[in-house]
Order: sequence, then C-alpha cells, then structure tokens
Amino acid sequence: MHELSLALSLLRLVSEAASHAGASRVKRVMLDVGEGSGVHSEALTFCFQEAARGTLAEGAEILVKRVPLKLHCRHCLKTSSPSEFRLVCEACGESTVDLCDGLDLSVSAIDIETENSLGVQDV
Amino acid sequence: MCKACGCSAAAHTKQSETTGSNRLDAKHDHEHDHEHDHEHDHAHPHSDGHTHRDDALDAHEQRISVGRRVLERNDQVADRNHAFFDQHGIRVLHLMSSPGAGKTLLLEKTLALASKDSPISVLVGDVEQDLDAQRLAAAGGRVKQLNTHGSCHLDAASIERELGHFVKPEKGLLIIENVGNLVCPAAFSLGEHAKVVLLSTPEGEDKPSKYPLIFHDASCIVITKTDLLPYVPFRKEQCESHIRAVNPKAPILWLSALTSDGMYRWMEYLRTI
Repeated sequence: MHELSLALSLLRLVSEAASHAGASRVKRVMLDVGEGSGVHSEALTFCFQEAARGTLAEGAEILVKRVPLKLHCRHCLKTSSPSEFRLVCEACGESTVDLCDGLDLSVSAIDIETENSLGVQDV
Repeated sequence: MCKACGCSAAAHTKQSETTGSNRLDAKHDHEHDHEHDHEHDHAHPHSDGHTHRDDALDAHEQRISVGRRVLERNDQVADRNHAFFDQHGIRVLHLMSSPGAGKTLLLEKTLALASKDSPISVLVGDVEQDLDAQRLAAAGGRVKQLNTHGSCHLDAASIERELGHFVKPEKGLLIIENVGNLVCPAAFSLGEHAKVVLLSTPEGEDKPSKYPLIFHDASCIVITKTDLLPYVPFRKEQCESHIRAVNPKAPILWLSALTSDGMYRWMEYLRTI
C-alpha cells in the first residue's frame, strides 16, 4: 500500500514514544500487522530503515507479529480466524459475523536504551 | 508511480510476502533452541542471529509499552472533521472506486436531479487537472477541485484545510469524490458519514473479493454501467455473492448514470445519509 508514507508515520510515532521515555536509542520496534491491513511488512521495514537514518531509531530492528483476522459469530457465538478475507464463520458457515481484529497496523512496544543506563551518549 | 510509497500496479503482493522473495527476509538456517508457537516474520536487517519479542532484554535496555495505531493521526483529524460536520448539520458522503468506474458522471447526474432546496457541494480529488470539477460545475454544482500532485488518495488533512472555507458551516450534503483507487482510500478516513464504493460492470464481478477492505467498509455499494451488461461477462448473482463474502449488510444499488436507469434509487439513498 503506502509503505513509505506508513514508514514516515511509524518513525514519527516511534520517535515520539522514545523521546517521551528519555531514550537515546531505539533498539527494537514491536509492530503488529493485521492480516487484513493491506500492509507489506518487508517493504515497510525497508522504508523505515531508510527513513530512520540519522535518527534515534537508526538501526532499530522491526519485529513483526502478524495479527490474524478475527471474526465473532452472532449465530453460534464462536470466534474464528479465516485464512482469507471472507466474512463467513469457520464454525457454522453463517455470515452473521463481526470483524473484531486483524485490520490494524500498530506499535505494541519499543525497546530503548537510555543515556543513563549506558553512561555515554550514543552517536 | 505514487510519490507517497513508490508503488506501481504490480507492487507489494501478498504472494511475494509469503514466499519471502524480498532480500530482507532472514533465512532460518541456524538452530532454534525454543519453539515458535506464535506467528511472526523476521523483517529485520540480515544479521548473524535474530531476536524474538519474548527474548530477555539486555541490562541496559528498557521495554516501553506503546499500543498506538500507525495511522492514528489521520483518524484524529478525521474525527475532528466529523465533529465539524455534525456541529453544522453537514452530511458527508465519501465516494470511492477504481479509475473510470463512473464517479464523476454519477455526480453530474446527481447534481442535475437534486432539488434546489437540498444543496449539494462537491470536493473532487485528482492527481492533476480540474477536468472533473469543470464537468461538475457545468452540471450546476458547487464544486472545488483538490489536486494531490502525486499522492494516490485524499487524506483527512486535505479535507480539514477546506473546513470553514469551501466547506461552509451550514446545513447541506457534501460529497467527496476521491482519487480513483480501490486500495489506499480504504485506510484513510476523511470524517465522512457514509462510504460509497462504485464498481462498474466492465471491471468484473469478482472485484469485491480482490479488494476486500474497501468493499468491507462500504456503507453502500453501487454497481454502475448496467447499460453495458449485455456486452460484458458480468453475472449479477456472482457479483452479489462476492460482495456478501466481505460485506454482509451494505445495500447494493444497480444503475446506469448514462441512461438514468436506477438513478431514483440512488437519489432515495442520498436522502438517508
């Protein structure tokens, strides 16, 4: 989709969270990628790494967790995770389902180093 | 090529992702000493080892919980837009489709049929030129052209800039015609009350399955160019089946803006926005 534009938004979000926590460096970004989000995680990672040069997120590893599509069925009340984007309950076959997860791209956490713990400022 | 992400038509397919054809995929040719019982990718620079989320942190590291969506900023602006619309009694319809599905012609005919006491304003987005705005103005519409100059979709910020200016703080219907694109507009809410997706008969009955996100989010799906049904391999029942597999509830309207067949149902729908 918009991997460069998403990478810039991701970098802004990571930088804000890192600065707020007093980080001197971001080591890892835990990225949750919904299966239905349309995001291509390799392309996003590549763009992020390019965009992060010269920032405190330079060299940060992106650890991607795929978040499956999750459907809740109003008919049989079961939750299922279809392998394709088809709004049909895997348990009973009805389409009386609500899509409750798997559409978003979000940062769950970041691993940082702070100046104090290192004793010296990273360059 | 889209300046925002450098995408071309063939880029970023799920197929290449699952086969790991990208050079940044770290190969699993080293020993694992623990079970992988969760779904994950190793999308990181090629290095000797790899880390997992549940690995212990080094002594000088700290994990900060974030829990924020990457596109939250667009949603925040969209929410502000929505609040402005509600405050002033403006009902907003966001019109999306692939290029050439017939958004502009549908709006030309809509403007011609609209009653004088139900004012309609249109913001139309295109990469370049004001050709669509010219057509809509000629049809008697109050319209402004927005040019993205490279970006393939409007975002909430492009609409926010018009609030209090072209978008007057008074009651009425605002229709936002997005850039022709079935992929990106799905992710960028503008603050609208209803999302309408058009699909034209020459495009094929299976588009909804191929572009599930945008059809899933649609408040209403309009099949256009029904006058071409005798000439294209498009089956109505199959199309409805593809739609229902990704969107169980949205009304499906069938029309031809060219011949006006079905336009009355569309005008009825507009009254419900």
